[in-house]
Amino acid sequence: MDRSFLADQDVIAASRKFVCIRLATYEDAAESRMLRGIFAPGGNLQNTVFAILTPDGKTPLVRSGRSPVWAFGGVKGPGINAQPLESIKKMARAMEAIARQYPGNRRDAQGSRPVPYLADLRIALNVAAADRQPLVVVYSPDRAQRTRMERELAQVAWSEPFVGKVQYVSAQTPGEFQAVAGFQAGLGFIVIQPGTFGLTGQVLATVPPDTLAGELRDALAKALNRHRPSQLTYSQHRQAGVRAGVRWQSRFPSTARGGRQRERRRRRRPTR
Amino acid sequence: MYFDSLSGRALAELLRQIRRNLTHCLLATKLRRFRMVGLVSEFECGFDCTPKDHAVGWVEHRRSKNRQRRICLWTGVGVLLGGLCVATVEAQRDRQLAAKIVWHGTWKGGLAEAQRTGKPIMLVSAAPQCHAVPGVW
Repeated sequence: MDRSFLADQDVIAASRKFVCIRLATYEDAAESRMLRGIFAPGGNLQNTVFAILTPDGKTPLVRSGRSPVWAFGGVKGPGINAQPLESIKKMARAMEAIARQYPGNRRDAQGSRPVPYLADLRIALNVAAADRQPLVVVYSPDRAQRTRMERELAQVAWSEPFVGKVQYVSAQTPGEFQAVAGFQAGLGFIVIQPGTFGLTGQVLATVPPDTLAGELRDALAKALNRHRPSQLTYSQHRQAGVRAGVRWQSRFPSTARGGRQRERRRRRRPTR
Repeated sequence: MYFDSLSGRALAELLRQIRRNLTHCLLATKLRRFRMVGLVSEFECGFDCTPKDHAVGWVEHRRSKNRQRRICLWTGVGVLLGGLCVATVEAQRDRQLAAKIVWHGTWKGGLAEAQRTGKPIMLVSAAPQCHAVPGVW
C-alpha cells in the first residue's frame, strides 16, 4: 500500500473531510465484488485499489486505479513510496476541492461518529501489526452491552490523542481470541499488542465494560503507553517473516497478475 | 617571522593558524627542530597560556593540556551521542504520534457513515502481506 501520498500531512488534514475506507483485499466476497466494479483490469481484482467516490459510493470523482498515482501522477513500480511532492500536493488540493463540493450535512456535526471497526479479530491483528498500532477489542456476547460500550468508545476514538492511532474491532465469543496470549475471558475493552507478523497478540490491559468515556480515556492512555511496535524496516520484516516461515492465507486466492502466475505454477508442479 | 615579510595580511593569518595547529600536533622533540627554523616561537603552545604556565616544563605542560583536551573531547562525544539517542527516540515517538488517517475497516460501516454524513469517500484496498508475509502493507 502507498506510504507516500497517504502519509502526507496535507493529505491527512484533507482526509478528515472524507470518510476513509481501507479494505483488506481478497478477504470478503461482497467487498471483492464491489472493488471489481471500481477497478479490475480484465475482470481481475488487483492487490491494491484506490478511488475517491461520491457519498453514495457509486460515482468515482477521480480516475480510479491501483494507487493515487493513477489519479494524480507520480512513480509507478519500484520507488512508489517516494513520490514527487508535486503529485502529493496535487492530491491534497484535489481532496480539498472535492470536500468543498461535498461539505457534508448537519448530521455529521450532530450525531456521534461510529467506532471505525475492522472486519474481525484475525484481520484486525494483521492490520494493527501492519500499521504498528495497538488494537482495542470491544468484547461482549451481549449486543446491547456492546452498543453501550461502542457509544463510550466512539467519544474517545475520535478525540486526541487517539484519533487515527488505534485500531478497533468487536468480538462476541471467547473463541475469537485463540491467537491472543493473556486473554482471561473477561468482558470489556481488551487492549492488545499485535505480534510482529499480526498472527498473534498479547493482552496489554482489560478495561471493564461499564467504564464511561472519561475513565476509559485515562485507562486506554495508560494501556497504549505500554504498546511497543515493531521497529523492523519493510525489507527486514519480509526477510524475518520468510526465515520464520510465517504465511498469511487470504480467504480468497489472489487474482492479481503475480498471484495468477503463482497459482498456475503451483498447478503445473507434479504431485508426489 | 621571515614569511610575514614575503606576503600580505592574509598569508600572515594563514601562517598563524598553521603555526597554532603545528604546535598542537607536534611532539616536543619535533617542536625543537621547528623552533630552529623559526616556525614556532618560545611561548606559543597554542593553548592560550601564559609563560608562567610553562614553568612546569614544556613536555609536562603539553601532557596535562592534552589530557584536558581528551577529557573535553570525550565529554563532547558523550554529550553528542546522548543527544542523538534522545533525538532518535523522540523522533520515533513523534512518528508514532504524528497525525494519521482514520480508516473504516469495512465497506458496510464506511458506506453507512458516508451516507449518514454526506461526506465523499476515499477508498483504498490492499492486502496486509508482502509475498505472503503478514504484518506489512
